[in-house]
Amino acid sequence: MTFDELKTLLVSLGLDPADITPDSTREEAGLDSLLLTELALVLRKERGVPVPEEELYAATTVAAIEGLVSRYAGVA
Amino acid sequence: MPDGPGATGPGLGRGPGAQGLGIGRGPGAAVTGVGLFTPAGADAATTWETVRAGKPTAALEERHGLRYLACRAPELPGDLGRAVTARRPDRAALLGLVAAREALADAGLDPVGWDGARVGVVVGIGAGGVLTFEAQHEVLRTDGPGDMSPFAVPGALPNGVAGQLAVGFGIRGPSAAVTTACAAGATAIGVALDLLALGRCDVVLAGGAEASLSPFYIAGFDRLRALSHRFDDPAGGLRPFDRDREGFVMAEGAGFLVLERPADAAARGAGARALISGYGATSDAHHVVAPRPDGSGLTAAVRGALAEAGAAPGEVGLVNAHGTGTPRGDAVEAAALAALFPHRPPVTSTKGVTGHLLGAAGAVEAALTVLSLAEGTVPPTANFAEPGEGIDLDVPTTARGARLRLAVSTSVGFGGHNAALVITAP
Repeated sequence: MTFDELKTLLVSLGLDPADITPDSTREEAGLDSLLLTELALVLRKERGVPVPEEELYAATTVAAIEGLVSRYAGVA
Repeated sequence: MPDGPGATGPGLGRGPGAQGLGIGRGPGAAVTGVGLFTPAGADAATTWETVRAGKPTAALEERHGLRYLACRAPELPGDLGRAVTARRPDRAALLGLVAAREALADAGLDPVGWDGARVGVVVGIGAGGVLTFEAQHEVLRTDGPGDMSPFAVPGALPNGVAGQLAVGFGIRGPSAAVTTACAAGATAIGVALDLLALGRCDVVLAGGAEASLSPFYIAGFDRLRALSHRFDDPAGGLRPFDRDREGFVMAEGAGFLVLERPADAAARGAGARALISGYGATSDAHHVVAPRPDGSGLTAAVRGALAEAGAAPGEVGLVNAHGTGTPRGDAVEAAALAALFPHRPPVTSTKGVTGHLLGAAGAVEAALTVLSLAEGTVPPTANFAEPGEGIDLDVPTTARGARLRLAVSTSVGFGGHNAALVITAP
């Protein structure tokens, strides 16, 4: 999943595209813990990318989340 | 909100201002904005046109292994604000947002600049966020708890729409959901009158939203034998007061009014489209779904609303009836209305066009009554051809021009809730 694809997914969950850059922190992007849980769910069930929720919670920036998504893509 | 009387302090004791306007002993409220998002149209004007033309919106659907008639809301607009569309809201919140947004714009109120602390929101809803509930319950059963969305509970809660509207519009005064089944939309307006009369806020967004075309509710209403099975003639499915009526057609959508104390509305230069002059609420205390056979509960609600408005039954020029097209419900309501109003004002049920919006019905019909008064038009009752046995009412089958001063809108809900609103021309 490219950064732009991840951004599109985050926007579909309700985030403001203007807040989403690779360097954005979770807080800056508006990713609260509920949205991280929802993101993990969508990644796992709809995209076949089983990123563990705990690892998503530990990611501090959008770039870190993108890295996790890349790492787990293809695992399923 | 601009500097109006409401912005200066708590309203308690400032008085409702009703007496000075001669609308009776009740406090009353000015309707300064109307918004509708219904199967009959994506806004108030379109909905009104469809209702006035008497064009039914019911269609046959086959989903979830069920075959049924339904009235669907139009496609949602793509420009809904992020504050509400974020975090997977229930469909009822989205339908409500569209209607509420139109009502606020119609009232000339801009949620960006207002003092949200003096604004309240009351939402009537029947089933709550059941599309979310049922979808997530299915996930729970088939995939397990770990696959449920964290937004399952906020979406399923019946107060979800009220909360979402408060978030979306920065409403920081009182907010609540009221749920009296199919009377909820009217109950919400009644509660809003109280909030204004008591000075708890200065502006209330009051209405209803319903999105319960779900397998549980479709099948459940059908098991109550409440639904029309006129599958070979969907448009003719909901037939208020007609001889061949056999039940209602479920609908989804929303309707909202912006209500203010008449003096406040006048002070900020907002024109009143109509006045909510009286509200009456009673309970049948009889049966979980069947109406009290003598209609005395509904009669008392109408009498209470008229008394609050300081009006006599003979002043009523239009009744927007509950009229869901069920055999028993319509018969009881018709008998009550015939006894209440021997002068035979036109009695119409706009549900023949819109379908039954359940928890939103009372609000949508109050809005349609406001528009009836504003235009001086009695809307027709779609599909009324021959009166049912014992039904002796003047039911218009085409739109009629009329000089309307005062109208009554009735609503009843499972559980025995009766609500009546008296709505008057400004």
